[in-house]
Amino acid sequence: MKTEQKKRRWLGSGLLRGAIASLVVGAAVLTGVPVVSQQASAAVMLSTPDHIILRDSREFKGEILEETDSQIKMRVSVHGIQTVMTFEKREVLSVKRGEGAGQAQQAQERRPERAEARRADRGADAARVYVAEFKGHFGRDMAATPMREALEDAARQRADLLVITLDLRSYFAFIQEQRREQGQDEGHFSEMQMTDDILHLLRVDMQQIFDTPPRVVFWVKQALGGSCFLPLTSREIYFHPSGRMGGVGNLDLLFGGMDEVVRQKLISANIEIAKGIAIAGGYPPEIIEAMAMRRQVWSYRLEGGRPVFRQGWPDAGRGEILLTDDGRGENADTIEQIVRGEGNDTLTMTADLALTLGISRGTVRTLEDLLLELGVGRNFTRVDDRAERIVAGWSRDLVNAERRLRQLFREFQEIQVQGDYNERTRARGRQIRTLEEIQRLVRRFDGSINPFLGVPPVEEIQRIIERIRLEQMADRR
Amino acid sequence: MTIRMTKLLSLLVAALLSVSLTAASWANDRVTLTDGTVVEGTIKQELDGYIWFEIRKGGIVNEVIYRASQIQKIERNVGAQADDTQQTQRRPERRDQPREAGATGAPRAAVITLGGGSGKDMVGLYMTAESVRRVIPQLEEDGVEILVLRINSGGGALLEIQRLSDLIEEELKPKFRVVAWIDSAISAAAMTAHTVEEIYFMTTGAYGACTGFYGASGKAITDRVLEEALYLMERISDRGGYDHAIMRAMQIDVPLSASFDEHGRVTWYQDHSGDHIVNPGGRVLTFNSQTAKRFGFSKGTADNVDELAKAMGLTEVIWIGEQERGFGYPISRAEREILRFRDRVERDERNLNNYVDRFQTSLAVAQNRPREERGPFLNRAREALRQIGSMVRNNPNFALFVFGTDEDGFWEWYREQEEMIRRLG
Repeated sequence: MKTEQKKRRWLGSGLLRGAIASLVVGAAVLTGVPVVSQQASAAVMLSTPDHIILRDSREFKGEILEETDSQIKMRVSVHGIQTVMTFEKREVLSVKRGEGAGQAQQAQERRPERAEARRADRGADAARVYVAEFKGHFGRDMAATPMREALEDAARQRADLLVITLDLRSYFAFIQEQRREQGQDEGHFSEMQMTDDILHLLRVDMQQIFDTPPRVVFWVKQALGGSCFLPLTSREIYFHPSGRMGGVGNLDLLFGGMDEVVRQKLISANIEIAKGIAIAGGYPPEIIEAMAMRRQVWSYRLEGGRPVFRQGWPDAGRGEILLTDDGRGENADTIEQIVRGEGNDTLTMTADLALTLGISRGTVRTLEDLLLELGVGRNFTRVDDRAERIVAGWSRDLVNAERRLRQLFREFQEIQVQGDYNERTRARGRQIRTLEEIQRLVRRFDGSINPFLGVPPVEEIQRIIERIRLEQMADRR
Repeated sequence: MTIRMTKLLSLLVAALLSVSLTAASWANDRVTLTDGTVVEGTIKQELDGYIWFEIRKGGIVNEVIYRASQIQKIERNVGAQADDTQQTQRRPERRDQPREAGATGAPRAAVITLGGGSGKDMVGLYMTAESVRRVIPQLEEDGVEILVLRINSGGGALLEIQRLSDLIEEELKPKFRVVAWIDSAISAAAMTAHTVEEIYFMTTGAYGACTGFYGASGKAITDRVLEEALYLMERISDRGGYDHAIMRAMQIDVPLSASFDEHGRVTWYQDHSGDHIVNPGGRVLTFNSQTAKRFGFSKGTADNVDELAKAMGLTEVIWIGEQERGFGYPISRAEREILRFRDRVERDERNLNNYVDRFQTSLAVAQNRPREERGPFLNRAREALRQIGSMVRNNPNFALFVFGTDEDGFWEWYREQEEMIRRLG
């Protein structure tokens, strides 16, 4: 499905299509990866960065993040886009540590001291709290890469309480914004497929990233579209007073054009997979049906403060309350209800309803309130100095990468393969370097790049590169 | 109306009768039945007046379901008694020869994955009989006795189901105690797992949705193709010991209900006449971990190998392999080979167009050049052809999926291309 999504995005539109059409096939011999031009590598963000010179004379400047016996990891910034590159030490001729980077390193080293000092101030039993706030659109601003980096950072900081704050609209809302259409979040079940990698991180990798996995709490400001499944991995969900969670209520309207029994098969598989997420988190699987199926009617009653769900219209005599109606005719939600997340064609939980249904453990307006609710009180140390840089930095880098991709596509199209043999050879070399830089950015931000850019998969770009190389082979002096 | 008691449950009850007279060291609940029988074990679940009761003997776990009318008395936490067996038992009927247990006496177990999820999961491409067959010698060399097939696939090609089922039945079961551990087994993956008697779920597990259809048109298989698929699954259901009605409700839109008798045995009905509606109709059946457990289809729920061992009734077990980041189970040599296979298939699938394009364009350029200039282009074409050949060697099903021919047909084409390159040179 992932491949299909990529294909759809590639087929959807294409800046590069024109480029391919006008492509003069050619070739150039390239050195192996990593490849960043010297011109590009000079544009690092640090004022006095670390400096690596490779045996093939290429130079890179940036911030050395990690050095092992065999490798060096360095953060470099290319045209404002930060990326981490790994160098094999056998390829490295020299390493010069810059003052800025040294300061950064010292600052890094000092950070735990400051944290320790704060911790000492607050007492040895102070909780180490790491807050990562994901804001924007699911699939764009929340993706597996920044989540992994945040988790790894939290592990380095030995966090024992991890608060994941979600303020995310659906990926579909992003698509509608791109189309300059009214964005709506009410029903995009298919975004569940985009949660695979993140769910794997939270369920499996978490156990290995941390020596002792921290207590994980989700704080929901907005968790719409695919992001609504993520909090269900934790047994501790809290809502902001204006929090909403859902926006996946169209599963039973999907797969049109297929035979009915095939539709039912696909609905059945999808709904049970989604229920598995709820079951694993300790939540009633019925909420998934109510969230996903627009034509189903669900009621609930409270027994001993716990909800008991039943499919069907409520029986007032049994104290049942309507949870979702069938959304047909007069029952269809109005635009006002949809926009405010107050409709009942499908279940999109508000703070109050989530609390009533036992999904949310509490409603809190501020982080301080949340920490109080969690029993941390004031006795905590924040250890998330880098969280903003990781999470918001991802969003900024993504936007910069897209800007750079547009520029690279333009540059590629402008390269004319003409003149004498040497000039044609040089032009093809430029074409290949440009395409390789596109590949690098696509690899880094795979899946999150705006589909309207029409960026092809890296393999498709590789095919173009191969053709350029063949053309170069066929060229004569 | 079709009423069938499953072979599995018959065995289960027989096993119950044989073990109910002995107590185990772990037992801490005691149930006195209305007929005077006393059984000791662990109450795993209570629902609607039924109890799911786990009874162990020497590492073998049997689970039975008693309904309220059968139960005279329940005593909880009655204290452990001495176990009369030390070692985990295996199923001798599945073994030609008893295998030597690990040095500590604990059985040796390994996990191999069928399908890797996240796009690397198609049955027939990433989950193939041939790739599993290749690792059997490694499993044997490592002294594996219990083979856990961890399944994570959204389905795939119908043609591979028979091959996988035959492999499990004829090549794996005689050598190992085979267990299916369901991460996600949808469609062809569930149809494959149905060969295995012992099925455990992960909490997130899903199993079913086995309707056959043509991917391009979204049309369901019908007529003879459908009948053959239904018949295939009746035979595979027999291998796993499952009532035919279960898989039928996963394949086509028919209802399924179940009742528990006074001995806790499940009887399945292909209509609504059972006490519990499992599939109401108007929907194709997929189990989740809760429903699978409730109706005794799953023998237990486990999210890691420790929980799995516990669910399997293993008091001791040696898991073969090393813990690695990103994996929730130890990676054995055999599993590493399976992972390599899938990585290779993924790489080939991604680069397939490149291989073919490089071959065709290089050949085309060579054909339009004077003979003395063809060398570099022919070398390039030859290299691309080798990549294509290597791809099919790794996974012969590429011949069908990509070239629309069987393996022999592919290699015939391959030799023709080699010959063409030779003649051009």
